[in-house]
Amino acid sequence: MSRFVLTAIGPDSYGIVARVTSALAELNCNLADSRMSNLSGHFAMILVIDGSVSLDEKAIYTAVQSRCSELSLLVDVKKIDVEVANDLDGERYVVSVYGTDRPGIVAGICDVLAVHHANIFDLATRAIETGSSWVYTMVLEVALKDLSHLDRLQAALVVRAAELGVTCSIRPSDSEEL
Amino acid sequence: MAMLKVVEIGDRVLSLAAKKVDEITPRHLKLVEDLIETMYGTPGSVGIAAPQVGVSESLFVLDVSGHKKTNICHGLIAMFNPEVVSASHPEVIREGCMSVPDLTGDVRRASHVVVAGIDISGNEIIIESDAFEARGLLHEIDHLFGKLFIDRIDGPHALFKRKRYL
Repeated sequence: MSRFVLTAIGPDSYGIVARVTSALAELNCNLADSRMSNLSGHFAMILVIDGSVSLDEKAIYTAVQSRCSELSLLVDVKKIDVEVANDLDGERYVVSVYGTDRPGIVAGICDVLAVHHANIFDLATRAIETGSSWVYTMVLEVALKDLSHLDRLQAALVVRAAELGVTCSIRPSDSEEL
Repeated sequence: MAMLKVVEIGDRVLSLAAKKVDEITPRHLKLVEDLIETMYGTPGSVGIAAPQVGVSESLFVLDVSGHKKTNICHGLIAMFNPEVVSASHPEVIREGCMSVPDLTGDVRRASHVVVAGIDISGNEIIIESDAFEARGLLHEIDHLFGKLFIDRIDGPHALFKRKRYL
């Protein structure tokens, strides 16, 4: 088996997912993982694809582009390792950030998270126009393996948030077994 | 009593509506005992429905005693043929399930419920509950109608991978 990552982005329209995934199905590819979303009017897809060892990047690219020629999609295909660590360990926390938009909010907060070994699993941002200004929101899910970092992380986030002029909170992401 | 093997997502039995139990037999009572042992013997588990051990019959057990999100608590509940009489005050909580061991998800469910069913003696019972017990009742009853929490997920970004603990 070979593993590839395919990214595709283009102006949103009906049928993007159907066409891209049909092309992949015809190549007998499996979608091992994916994330797809409308980003500011552009539909963005990132897919981890498993296919036969005889498949190569060019064959996948050509198959997708031939199905999607009129969609103005930017498509990229790269071969990646099958065997990589997928570390799901650690206590999960949700970090919420919001404030007046300015450059450096994501970088500033994520720098603090990296320093304190908080591993980001998921991150989404939205910019919202409110009257005369833009408010930036960011929500992350992170994992902390060493909870002794938590107090320092919280304190450091408060300091960095103040520097950036945003509000930042962190709370446990409890899940309940049923 | 015996710990039973829990079936996982992908097994067709989890997608079937469970058959109602017309008569409670010694086999059913044994199944109740085994479900209770399986529930108590699985770390973190507070409930289990018969389809989760491969038996497509309308029965579940639940015990949310001592859980931090429990308010009203009826202790150990074993119920046949349950139906939701009323459900209100929805809230979103992240759930996990023994039959979906690799994922959790944000699920909107009622936090006040009235549920009617039959106890192990064959008597009709009505349970009114709230908070975590209400959620547990609705989660287990969903199993009896072939639904997993993924059927009620709050959106595509509300499903999360996790480490397999069980």
